[in-house]
Amino acid sequence: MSPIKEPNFFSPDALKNPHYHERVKDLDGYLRLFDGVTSEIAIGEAAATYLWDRQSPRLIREKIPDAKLIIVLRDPVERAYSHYLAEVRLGWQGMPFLEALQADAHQAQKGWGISRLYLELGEYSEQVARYFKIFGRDGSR
Amino acid sequence: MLFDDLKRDAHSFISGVLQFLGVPDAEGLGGALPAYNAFAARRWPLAKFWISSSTVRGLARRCVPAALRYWIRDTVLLKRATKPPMSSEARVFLEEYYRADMHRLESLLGRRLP
Repeated sequence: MSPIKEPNFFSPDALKNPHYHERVKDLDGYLRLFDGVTSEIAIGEAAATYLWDRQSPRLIREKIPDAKLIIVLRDPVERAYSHYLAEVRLGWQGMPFLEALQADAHQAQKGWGISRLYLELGEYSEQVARYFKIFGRDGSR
Repeated sequence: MLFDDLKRDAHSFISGVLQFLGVPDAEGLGGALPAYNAFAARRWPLAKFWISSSTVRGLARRCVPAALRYWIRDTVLLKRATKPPMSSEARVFLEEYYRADMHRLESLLGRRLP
């Protein structure tokens, strides 16, 4: 796996938020992540942003047409709560959970690093459908 | 793939991933998987500043190796704690919010979700 846990190279929305994630900005930098590869059967990387970002499936397909994709879905109710608790832990969130959900839902502007996306990130059906449409059902698990 | 499947039977889950990738299965995989990003509480009141400051985190990202950064965060600034339970009100709200999307996802995946 890539030495950077979440390179976010295929997530233009995450790339706009320099303080939010470690990012790899260009193709050369991305390829350097795999400099140590020799005869591995499979290599890869992962980022939570790839599921939510509308552009990610197309961008991945353009650069890695035969990519095999693994999408791990968590119960969206538990996902939202863990997301909230992670931000409490980091000191980014001080409101009670339900209040935080409702405040975020009413944010006028939505986006990675703009709003919290507590609810939106768990709306999986459209996100998964985007990958199935571009990579086909057999290219994803 | 579902996180619930991983929690229930990590070995089968990982075997499925390896098979999909064309990688030979290996003994011992999925035995005892560590929990990453598990719930933690701040160890010191001032830890909030060090953790939440984007300036501090940006500087640390540039100057401190990742492994050391994570060690400082998880050992010096934070401590493992019991995850507080979700309120029943919030759970009801979320279950209702996601109900229709879960039905669409079940149709898409062709399987019942837990």
